Amino acid sequence: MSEVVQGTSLWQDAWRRWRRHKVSVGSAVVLTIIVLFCAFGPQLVSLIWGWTYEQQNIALGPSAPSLSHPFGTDVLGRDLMVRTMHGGRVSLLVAFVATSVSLVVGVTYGAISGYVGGRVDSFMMRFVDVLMSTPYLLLVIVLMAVIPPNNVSFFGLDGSFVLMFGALGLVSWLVLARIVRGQVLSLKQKEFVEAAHAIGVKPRTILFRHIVPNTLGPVIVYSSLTIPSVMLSEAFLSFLGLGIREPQASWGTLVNDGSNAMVVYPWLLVFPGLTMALTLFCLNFLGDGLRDALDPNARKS
Amino acid sequence: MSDVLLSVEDLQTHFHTEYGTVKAVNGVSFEVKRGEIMGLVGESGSGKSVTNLSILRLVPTPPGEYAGGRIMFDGQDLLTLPEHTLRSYRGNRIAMIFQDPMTSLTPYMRVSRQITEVLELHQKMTRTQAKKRAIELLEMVGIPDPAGRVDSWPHEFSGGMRQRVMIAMALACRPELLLADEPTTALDVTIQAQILELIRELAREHGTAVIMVTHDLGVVAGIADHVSVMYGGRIVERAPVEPLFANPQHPYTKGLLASVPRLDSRGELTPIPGSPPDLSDLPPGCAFAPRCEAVMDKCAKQPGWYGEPTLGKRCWLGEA
Repeated sequence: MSEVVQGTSLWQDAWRRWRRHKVSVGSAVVLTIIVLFCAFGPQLVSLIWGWTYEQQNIALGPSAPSLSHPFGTDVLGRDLMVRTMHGGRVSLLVAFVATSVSLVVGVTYGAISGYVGGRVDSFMMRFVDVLMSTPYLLLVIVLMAVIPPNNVSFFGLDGSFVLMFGALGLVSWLVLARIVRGQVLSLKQKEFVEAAHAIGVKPRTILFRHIVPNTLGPVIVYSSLTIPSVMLSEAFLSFLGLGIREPQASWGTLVNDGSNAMVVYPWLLVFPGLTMALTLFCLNFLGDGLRDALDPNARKS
Repeated sequence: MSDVLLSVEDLQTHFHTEYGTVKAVNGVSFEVKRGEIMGLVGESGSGKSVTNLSILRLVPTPPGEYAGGRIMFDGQDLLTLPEHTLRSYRGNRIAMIFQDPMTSLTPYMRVSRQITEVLELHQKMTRTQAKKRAIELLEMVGIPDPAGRVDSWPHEFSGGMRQRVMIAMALACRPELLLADEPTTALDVTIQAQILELIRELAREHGTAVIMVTHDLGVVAGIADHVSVMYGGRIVERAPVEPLFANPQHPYTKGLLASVPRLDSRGELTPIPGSPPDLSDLPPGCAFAPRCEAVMDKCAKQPGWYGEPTLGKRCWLGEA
């Protein structure tokens, strides 16, 4: 009894709890498979069959799923499975970047705004309002003018990606900043904050150690909603010709193309659509499980 | 051991609200010596908690304002001390125990981390040393199996245990001054007795001065050396504990004592009629006059302090 018991860390604890959340663990497994499928699939396909995402076969035209084209081919005779894998890379990357920006910028910005309060808060929130009320398309078009898509590259990525990250990153953190600010506004009135003041903790430490972790629940839930909405905005931008360009693809553009030909060539919608839906489902369940695992107040069954 | 540690002089803490200025503390003066336990009693809204918060300058400004007075702690005025100096006193030389244990611990931090945070801040201990000390502290406040419980989450503790954690945190750096805001209200009587004994021991052995804010006169009688009675943002009577209970001078103190059940008399309880004054609209004279049985014409003027600083009253009754 006298020897110091080695405590489990928050993360070990969360890990233990998370593993009991079967649906969440299952989702993580499926997500991993999808990510691997998108990451290594194209090379594998080109090794086995020799297709690439941009390789056309006009003579073949749109053909139904078969052994050599498991997801079928599109109107230009391109293999849909490779295009789905390739589109997955784009969609997942866009979602990951936009969500990271939204987490880092949104949480920090919202937390500072809510905690400092007063005039600083009004100023910071008016800035968010301005960005939110500016027509989104206008912002993207301005960005396009500023960044000529064909002249820039970013870690080997094409200019349209940079544009996409810029456009989505710019707006993705706004709502999260508001949510966190609202949470912090109410949390900073709590007694434990006063108690932390009374033991001489610095305001910055109070904010990031005592207050921000309490916003984790809403933040995780909101982030798991951000990912699908970012994927959809990406599809929307691409549809307007402002995002990903042919022959590049994303799940959004594939679903969009597929929906036009839904009645005649249903596989063009079904396969990319199912992959995307499955991913979004899994992300939601994963978010759910993570929130439960990271919340020490959650009832343990 | 009898030197004055804390001397509050004419403290005025006001709140500016849309309904006017609330004078929560309106000219409070008292002294506390090292090793002395002072009870600060009064009804809800009499300004006792705000007085306590003012000492650590924890009243949010705005809407609060320290409108006047001085708080001399060991020769320095806490109201004019730079924030970072004051921060190094908080939790270290002056510690505070809050009223509500259910909400005073950060829910996303383990109990061990909350205690070691104070120790790392002020005692420059390493994480391992601090953890050892945290276990000692938990043992001291009577948490069973402290080594096994130290890494629990606050929600895994009962209210009484959380309050003891709060107390352990307050005692962690052996403060010179302990401000306790109803520290035992949330506890049942057996724990209450233990905690009070602990505080008394601290005062006796380490010479810690204690200001105990409470509305429980039983607690005051049991633990305090001196009592200050607050009403309407002012101290209306001050006396050592025995004379106060045996022979209260101020009509408000008399009323307060008459409204508490006593073992040695079977008489009816007599509540004080009326309700506490509106602190944003205080009468120019004695704030208690509208409820006072012995009210006189003179009560329309603010009474001065009669008697010694440590034994006296703010009342016209019986004075020329």
